[in-house]
Amino acid sequence: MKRNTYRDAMDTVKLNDDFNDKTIAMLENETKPARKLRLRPALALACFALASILVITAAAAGGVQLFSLLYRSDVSAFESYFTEATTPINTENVSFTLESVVYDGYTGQAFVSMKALSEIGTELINQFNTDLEAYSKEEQKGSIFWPEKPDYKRAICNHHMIIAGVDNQQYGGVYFAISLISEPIEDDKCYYLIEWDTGNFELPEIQIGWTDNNETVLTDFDLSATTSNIVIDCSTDDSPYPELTDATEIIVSPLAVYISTRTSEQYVNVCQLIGALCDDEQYYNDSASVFVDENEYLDDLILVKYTNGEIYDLFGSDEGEYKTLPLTDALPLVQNGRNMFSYSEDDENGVRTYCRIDRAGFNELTDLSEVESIIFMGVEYKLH
Amino acid sequence: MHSNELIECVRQAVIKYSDNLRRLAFTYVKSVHSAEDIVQDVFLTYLQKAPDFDSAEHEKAWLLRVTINKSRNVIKTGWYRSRLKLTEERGYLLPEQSEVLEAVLSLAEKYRLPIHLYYYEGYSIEEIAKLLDTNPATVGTRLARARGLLRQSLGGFEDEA
Repeated sequence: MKRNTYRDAMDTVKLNDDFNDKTIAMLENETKPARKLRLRPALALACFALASILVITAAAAGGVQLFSLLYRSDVSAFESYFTEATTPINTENVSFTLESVVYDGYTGQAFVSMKALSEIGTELINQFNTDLEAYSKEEQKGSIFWPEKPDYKRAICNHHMIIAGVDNQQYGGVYFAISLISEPIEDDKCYYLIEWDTGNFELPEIQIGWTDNNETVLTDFDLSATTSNIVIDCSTDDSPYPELTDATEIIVSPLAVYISTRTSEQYVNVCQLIGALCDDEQYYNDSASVFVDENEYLDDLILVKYTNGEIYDLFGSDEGEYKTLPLTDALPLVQNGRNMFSYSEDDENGVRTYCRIDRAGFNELTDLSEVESIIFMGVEYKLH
Repeated sequence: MHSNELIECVRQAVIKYSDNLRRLAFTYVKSVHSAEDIVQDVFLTYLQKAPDFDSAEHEKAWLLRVTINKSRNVIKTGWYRSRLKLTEERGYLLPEQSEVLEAVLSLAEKYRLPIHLYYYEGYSIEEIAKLLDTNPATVGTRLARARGLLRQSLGGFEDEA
């Protein structure tokens, strides 16, 4: 009878009676409830400092109007993607500022967020969003742009904001996505999260600039300054399951954790290999459990422990959850699926070693000073 | 501005689905107040995105999916994690109801969600798999695992009516 009890209990949980009326009134007025800024304090401070520097730089260049981001591209080469904006908008006194750049030195992914500092900037962003969505429906599914050839060129908002690509990527194409961050911002500001992936492991060269009366002022931006990966050499730690996997290195970035493992056996389902440790009923397709003692087990193989002692699963090992990104909800962002790399190496004696790199995302930009350790297969690896 | 027709669609959806969505969000955040914040946001997204639906079931599935996404976003944020964990008073529940509810809420998300969708919403394993964009075997495994955990904590959570 327990299943009915659950349904009864859930039905008995008291909800506020006036919720529907309040919600309908809210919707009719379209007033979004205020949200708190969710960036971690240290990250927010860094963002503020970065934004301040950029605003000062841009102001010195003479009247910032709009923000553009260029990747190894000549701004004069861009062509209008949207032949004309849906509605002409006066861009006078519009200003944007860079909020943060977080670069993942391991995969070459960089997350750039910027915000409009004025209402008209927000209006421009809304217009762009409308255009983007219309394009997405027409040409692509969702909001992901993955052109067959990395030759995309877009002009946005009457050509004032420019995002352009290059045409000499090595492999895998260019992954590019842009989305509106709608939730955690004060009422008069908007965020954009721009994400791209160059498909290689080189540090991208990025220039950031603003258009001002049709002239673009560019400034080099050193992404290496934002790289803050922490590398843990765990080759000397004993794995509890050496027959399964030997972690050799763990790289922790503000975006994700990467774990390199080497084994003489080809990778097979983890739970099958540690079946003796698994519950009789559990043979997962996509995850496994590791017992930390005889009574307690930890779900998932990769966990993060924060300095306040709390332990959380990391995204990456669960289907579906991996696609959920942090500060976004209006448009889905899909990681490019590289949550696992594997390859093999043969030594001079022909002995083959299977190498594997697992990725698990934090699901938000994480301040690494707040991460105490990574727990992999029940073994705790300290960051600091 | 949104058309009167769209506003009326969303208004009907609020009336029709808000209870289910709030209870679904509640399984994540374990707080009625927080769940209602999330669901307000869901309806706001409905209004802003104005999606086209083939049927009422399609509309409900979309709303459930968005509620799940928004709930996940909320519980994964540092802001949410850093909040003092306050337990809402639910003394009005019968002891057995309280025991079962707490047991389900204490499950990991991957188990809690299929349990809720299966036992409360009445979805089949295939429907849950479609909703969660995963395969039915995974859902079945998680349901079985969740039942096992509930058996341990409650002494049973069976399918019999």
